[in-house]
Amino acid sequence: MSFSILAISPFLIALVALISVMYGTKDISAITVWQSMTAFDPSDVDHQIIRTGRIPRVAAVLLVGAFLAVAGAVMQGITRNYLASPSLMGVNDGSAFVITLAIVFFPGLPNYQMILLSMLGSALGAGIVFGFGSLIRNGLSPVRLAIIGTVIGTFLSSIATAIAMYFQVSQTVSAWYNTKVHMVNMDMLILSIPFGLTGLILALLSAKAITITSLGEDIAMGLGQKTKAVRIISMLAVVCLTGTAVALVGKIAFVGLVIPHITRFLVGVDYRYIIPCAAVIGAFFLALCDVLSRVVNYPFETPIGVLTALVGVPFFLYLVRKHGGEKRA
Amino acid sequence: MQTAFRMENLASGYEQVRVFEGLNLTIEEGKVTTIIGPNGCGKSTLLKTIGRILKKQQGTVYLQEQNMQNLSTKDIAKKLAILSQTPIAPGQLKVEELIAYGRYPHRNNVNRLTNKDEEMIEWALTVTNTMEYRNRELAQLSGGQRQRVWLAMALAQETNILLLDEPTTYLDMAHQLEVLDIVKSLNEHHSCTVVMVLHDINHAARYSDHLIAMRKGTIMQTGTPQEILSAEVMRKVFNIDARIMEDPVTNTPVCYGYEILKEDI
Amino acid sequence: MHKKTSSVFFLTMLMLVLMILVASYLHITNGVFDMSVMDVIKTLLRIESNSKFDLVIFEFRLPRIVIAGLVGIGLGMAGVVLQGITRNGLADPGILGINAGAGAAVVLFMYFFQVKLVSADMNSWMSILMMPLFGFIGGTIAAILIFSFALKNGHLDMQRLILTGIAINSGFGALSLFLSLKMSAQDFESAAIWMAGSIYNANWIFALTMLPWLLILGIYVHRKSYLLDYFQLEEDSITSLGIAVEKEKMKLLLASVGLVSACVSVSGSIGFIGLMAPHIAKQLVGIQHRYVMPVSALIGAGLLILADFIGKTVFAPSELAVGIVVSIIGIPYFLYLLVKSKA
Repeated sequence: MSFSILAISPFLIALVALISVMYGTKDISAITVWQSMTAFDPSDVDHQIIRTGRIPRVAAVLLVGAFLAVAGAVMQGITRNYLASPSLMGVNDGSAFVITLAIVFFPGLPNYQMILLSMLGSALGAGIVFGFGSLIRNGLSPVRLAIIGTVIGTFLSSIATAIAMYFQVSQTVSAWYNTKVHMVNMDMLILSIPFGLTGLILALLSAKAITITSLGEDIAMGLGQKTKAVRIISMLAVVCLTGTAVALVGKIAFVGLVIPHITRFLVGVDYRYIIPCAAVIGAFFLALCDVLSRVVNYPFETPIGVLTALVGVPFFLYLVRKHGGEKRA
Repeated sequence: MQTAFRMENLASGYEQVRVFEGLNLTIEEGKVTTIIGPNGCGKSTLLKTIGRILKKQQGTVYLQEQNMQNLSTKDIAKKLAILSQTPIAPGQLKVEELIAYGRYPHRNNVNRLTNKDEEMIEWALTVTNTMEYRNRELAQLSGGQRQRVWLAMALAQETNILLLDEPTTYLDMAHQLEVLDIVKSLNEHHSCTVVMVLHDINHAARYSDHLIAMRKGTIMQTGTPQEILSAEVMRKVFNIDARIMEDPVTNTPVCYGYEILKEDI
Repeated sequence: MHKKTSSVFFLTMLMLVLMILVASYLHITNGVFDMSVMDVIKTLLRIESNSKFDLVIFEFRLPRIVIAGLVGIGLGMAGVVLQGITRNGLADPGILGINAGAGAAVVLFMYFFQVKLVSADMNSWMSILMMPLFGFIGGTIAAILIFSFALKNGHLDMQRLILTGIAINSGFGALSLFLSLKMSAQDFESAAIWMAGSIYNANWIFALTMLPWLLILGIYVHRKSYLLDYFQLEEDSITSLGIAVEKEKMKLLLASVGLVSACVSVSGSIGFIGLMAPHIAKQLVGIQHRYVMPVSALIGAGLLILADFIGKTVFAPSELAVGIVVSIIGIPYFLYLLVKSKA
């Protein structure tokens, strides 16, 4: 099953990417798209639009979709928590928070440092949430953690807003907070490839270990697995992936929650297959959402978060209905 | 004699599960009737349905010859009081305050207690021997004390009928008898009709006038303790080989030992 | 014993009124330009009126304080009801998504009727009066969704309730965002500010639109507050006493949704007041709801006036929306409650 997914996906992704590039406030024919890539003519307006606007946008969306999906999968596997995801566990919010601080206190930082800070923020957010979770009795249960994550996320958001307001840079900051897929920074995009790739590789490396962990703490220990090391590497993977994603396009919710579940449904419990499949499914999903976000309210753009919520909220409710307060993913 | 309860074609259960159906039963007034049976036989379900805590799925229940469906829940509350198996209340609530809650069906003004209210509260405290901790918080009481306080709340409701769902669970032997003694005396001195669910068949035999034995949603047999606590009925209902004798002090049958029979179904 | 509680009650109420007066005093004398107490009194009592002072006090500050107070009362009472009905100390209309539902409905209303949020002419009178009604419908829809998803075997599952609240919050939040983006740029600006929970554009019309709702529902909820005492027992015991549990809970729930919607329609989504006020009230006057209810109302009012004052002054000359200030105070408190709670 996973092989068929991996086999079909390049085609589906290429298709969705093509549609994404072709349609927008101005429709461009497929031939023109092809020409802009093979025989680029700088004076052709369409070519410019494609190269500087649309292709980077699609690329960003594909990458972020993949990154968030894999991050969510890793989180769910390692914590055995069916609700673990970057947006619910304060990871995204942590990133955004630190980025805000950076914009306020150290404006004009080079992009690669922004990404690093974003990663730091992810770690911070996750640290606070899981830290609190361990303080509370039964705090690491899916439900409790989701509540703590949401609440701390809101808290960090509020503080970030307050700080931005105090230093009167709220305009710039809200630009960060409202996902900015349509203004993708080319440099950031190029930089995000190595960072994100590192995360993906780390995730793949720990895939086997994650599978074992996801089956249960006792099983993992019984098989002599070095749980601590696995945890560290996978958290590093998550931090790389989400840090890059948020630095590139801001916070997008539900991708990291929904896609891993769908992937697990399709390919089973082995994370060596889940991770790559989640990546491609996530990429496809977000690209699709991006296309829809331009179609739904034509000619205006809808924030991509609205579309992911459209899918994510009912799915979330369905998950809650099905799993309630249980611990297993 | 007017029956306390009469059930026709009664069916009840929970969401997906039908626990019993087609049940016909009468319960006499002024007597202590106990429902016994193995786990899952439906005894609690039956009690709760009679007490309208659980909504019936089919059939009719007549409370003192009146169709319960036609009575308002407050009216019913003036006639019967139910003590559920695991009652809960905030720990900081004082004993006297909890008992006062029992006066709800009779109160018009929720902010002031009438003389009658106070009188009934005093009576409830006396009968259950809880007078000395009337001002204590619930959390400070022991299990046995708390159970008597809950009983007092049910008594403050000033009803002629008491339904008790396993009132002796989690209590030690002494406290179990304490509660059952109070219940028995209420029946004898105040003509209270008592319907209870008990786990312990010996207690059931000792304290009841009438027993109803259930198994898997069906009433297997009803009768006096002597009739029900017999080897044959015990086999049918509990799937045990019971050894029965008569307790020389109480003159009621007692099961002093038993073996498990091989599974039938 | 009873006597002791009622004297504690009266003392507490007195202290709270005092606290509200102090908060109001701070609020009314400080701002873009400061006024002394004498100035305020003179203007209020119409001695030596000064048109500039008049404007500031009667058009800006007083309505704002009054609305903050009213909203605080509404949220404080709604919080008591929700925590009583769900038997959960972490329940709050914001967390449960009722705010978001009411908010989305109001944004929908703003979109369709293009309400000018600042002006006070007769045309907008009618439309502004309709806002709480819309909010009520939205809030009720949210409540229906939440409670139906959280029901498990006919019994309210606490975990599911809060989780569903989170989902509903996201859902309605996204809806609000979507709708607000369809508005003209100007409307969007005011809608965005309003959605964050702000009393910035307070005016007397708003105060008047929410007042009847607040009075009627507030009195109803207070009169029925004794039921919340009984609801602390478990279902079977309550039914045994002859209380129609489901019906009464539903009525109280609708009333609290109504209160919340009235507040949201005027000030946007403000969470956590409904969480904190009941807890503080119970610490002060115990668990009897006929005391807790009014005390919580006053605490809510005081907190909100104070929060608005903070939002107004600490970040001068710009303003921090009161909803955000409340979040910054409320979330640590929520976490503290979470750590303290047993289940």
